[in-house]
Amino acid sequence: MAVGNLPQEVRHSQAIDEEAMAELSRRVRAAVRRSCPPFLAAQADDIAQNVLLQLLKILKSDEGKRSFSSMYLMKAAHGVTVDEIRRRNRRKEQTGMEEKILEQELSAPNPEEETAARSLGSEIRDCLKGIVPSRRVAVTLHLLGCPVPEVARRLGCPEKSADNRVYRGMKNLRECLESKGLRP
Amino acid sequence: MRNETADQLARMRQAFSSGNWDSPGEDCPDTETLWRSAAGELDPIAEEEIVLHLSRCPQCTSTWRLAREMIREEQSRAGSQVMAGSFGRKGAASRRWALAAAAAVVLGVGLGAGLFFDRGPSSPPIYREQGDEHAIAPLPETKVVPRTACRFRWTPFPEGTRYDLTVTDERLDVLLSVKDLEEPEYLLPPNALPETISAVYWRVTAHLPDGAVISSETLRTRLVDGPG
Repeated sequence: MAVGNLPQEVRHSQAIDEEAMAELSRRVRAAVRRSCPPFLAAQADDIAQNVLLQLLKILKSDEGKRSFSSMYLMKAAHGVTVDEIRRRNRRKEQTGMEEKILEQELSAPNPEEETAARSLGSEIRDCLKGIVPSRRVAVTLHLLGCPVPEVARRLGCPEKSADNRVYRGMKNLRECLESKGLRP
Repeated sequence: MRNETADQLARMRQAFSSGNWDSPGEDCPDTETLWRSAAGELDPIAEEEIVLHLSRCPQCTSTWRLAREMIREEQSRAGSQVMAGSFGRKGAASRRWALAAAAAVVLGVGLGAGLFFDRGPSSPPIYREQGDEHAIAPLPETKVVPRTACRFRWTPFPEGTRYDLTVTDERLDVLLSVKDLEEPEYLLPPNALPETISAVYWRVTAHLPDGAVISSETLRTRLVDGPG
């Protein structure tokens, strides 16, 4: 988003570094593209623009503090982005079927794959319920993309123990999925 | 040795995190808590509770995953900034070093040097809460310091603690980043301060002998001409 297009009153906020905000906007767009379903990822620019505007208003009201670290800004952006995405998601649910089809054609090259992924995700969650909690936590972190050393750090246990929990938990998960006739 | 292939694991991960942005339920943690979990800021007990929730809640998983992506973005940016500040002034050689270092951060081989965060993009340490008995506080004499003798001092931690210090100007551009200080103080080289700035912001991260990591608030020091 071009920061020069921001409303005048927002641009004049002394506490906000415009370059930093433009960079923040770029990073919000990138994160949205990577973590959202295609219909939302296609709106990443628009989402980032709205997030930035809302964020600037919040920061303006906080202006006297002048203590915004870049991670603080990103954290604030996260909260606003989640609200914005949920709002758009609700709006999508309320739109007519015609618009849904158009959105899918524009943004989801393979809607069947997306549906299959959701279905598999639901079955994975169902299987996780049957795994003992200590392994379930480790497997969930593994499925969230955390490597074993990170799993160990997060859970405060030795790496060997974390590796064991991930290994046995994944074995349980595979067996459960196979019993449902699923092989990812 | 895992039994699933990399492709299978990728499919399972994608399926587990496939975006669900419905409104959260009544028992869902708030967005702030999910951010803190994604950032590795929770203690293991709280972390386990959140992860167990994620194991059954696709809505919170989407929020958590977005937070993780944003944190990675920020760590990557901060790592690049610190490297640029450390290596460099002008010249292609120093730029090459900075680029190589930034690439190493992205690849997660241990050069991640977050501006205000942690030491590696994929391995956030366990952080302790500010406000407990271990909080880092600046010593009073650091509120206003002479421009020519800008010394930062903060409350000491047990012997063996190492400190990382990052100093920025008022625009949060990194002026200097030093690591593994043994003493709870640092004298800024006079040529590190541009003449135009009247204050600096700084932050200390303490790495305790027991492996804990504690970061200070972002602190402000006013610069004055003369003896201060």
